[in-house]
Amino acid sequence: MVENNDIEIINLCINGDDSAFSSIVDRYLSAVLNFTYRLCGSREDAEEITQETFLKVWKNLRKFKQTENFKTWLYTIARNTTIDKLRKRKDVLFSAFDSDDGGNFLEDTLPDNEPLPDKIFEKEENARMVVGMFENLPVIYKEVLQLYYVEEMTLVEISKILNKSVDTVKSQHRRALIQLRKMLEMRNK
Amino acid sequence: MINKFGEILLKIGYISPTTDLRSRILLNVAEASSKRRFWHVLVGSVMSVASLVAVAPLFVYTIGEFYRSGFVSFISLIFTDSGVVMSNFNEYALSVMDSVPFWAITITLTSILLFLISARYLITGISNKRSRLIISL
Repeated sequence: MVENNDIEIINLCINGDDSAFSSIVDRYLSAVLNFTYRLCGSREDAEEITQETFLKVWKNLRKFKQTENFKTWLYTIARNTTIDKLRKRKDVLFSAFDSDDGGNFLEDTLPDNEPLPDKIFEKEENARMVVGMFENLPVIYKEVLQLYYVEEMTLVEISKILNKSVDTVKSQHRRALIQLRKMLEMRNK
Repeated sequence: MINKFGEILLKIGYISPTTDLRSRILLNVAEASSKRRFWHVLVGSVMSVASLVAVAPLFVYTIGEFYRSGFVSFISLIFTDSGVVMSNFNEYALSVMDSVPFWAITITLTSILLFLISARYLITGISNKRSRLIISL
């Protein structure tokens, strides 16, 4: 239903009714701002990236395939714009051990522990600590965790946004949780 | 786990958009829209005038080619001497085909098509659906 409304609004925009675009902004502004904010960690940059994202969306609306999910397309643009911005800032935390296919030589040697149990979040203090650690994760892990847990997207949708295979996304998700767990253990020692 | 982690990230790391962020976004889009309209009008008007100017002489040239190639004479033969046409129909058909000025027809139709496309471009640029984003800011 919501998706149909998106398509209707997009069609209005394509037919020259620019005022319809404000509905898209109203609907997704907060989500895009927070998504970019959690990736780049600066409100100022997040606002700049959000502006750029919506401008790119408006310019490329004709290229959007209406059989696809608009939210996935929007997040792909937001994610790519954020990565570009971080690259300009030379601030992207990609692990030196990551390979192109999403593998990680170092972490593949780690034991396959059960990642982050629910009880970690029972204490507010722990929860805050995990969020703090989340901010220190490499971008490739932050984006997977955020899309999965905050935006509640499926692994298939995330793989489309990140332009990676579902298996790669699965392993990045697993590694992200392992890394969070390791950070938590180190903090507790 | 999914809800817990997501909820906590949402609760702790959430920022609200400032009041002017929406306005800035819509203003950027309005500016981009005006630029696009300007280029539509500029390119559309230049191309439509150029193609319209080209259509008239090309049309005259094409009509002249129909006469020069003998196409009109071959066609008039149907009405003046249809018996000869019918008895030598294969040769007649080949001669008619041979005399069609394809090149002249092609460039004339291309210029008409170019005019229609550029006119559409121009109309898009000056259509009544002007940017109303500023109003909705």
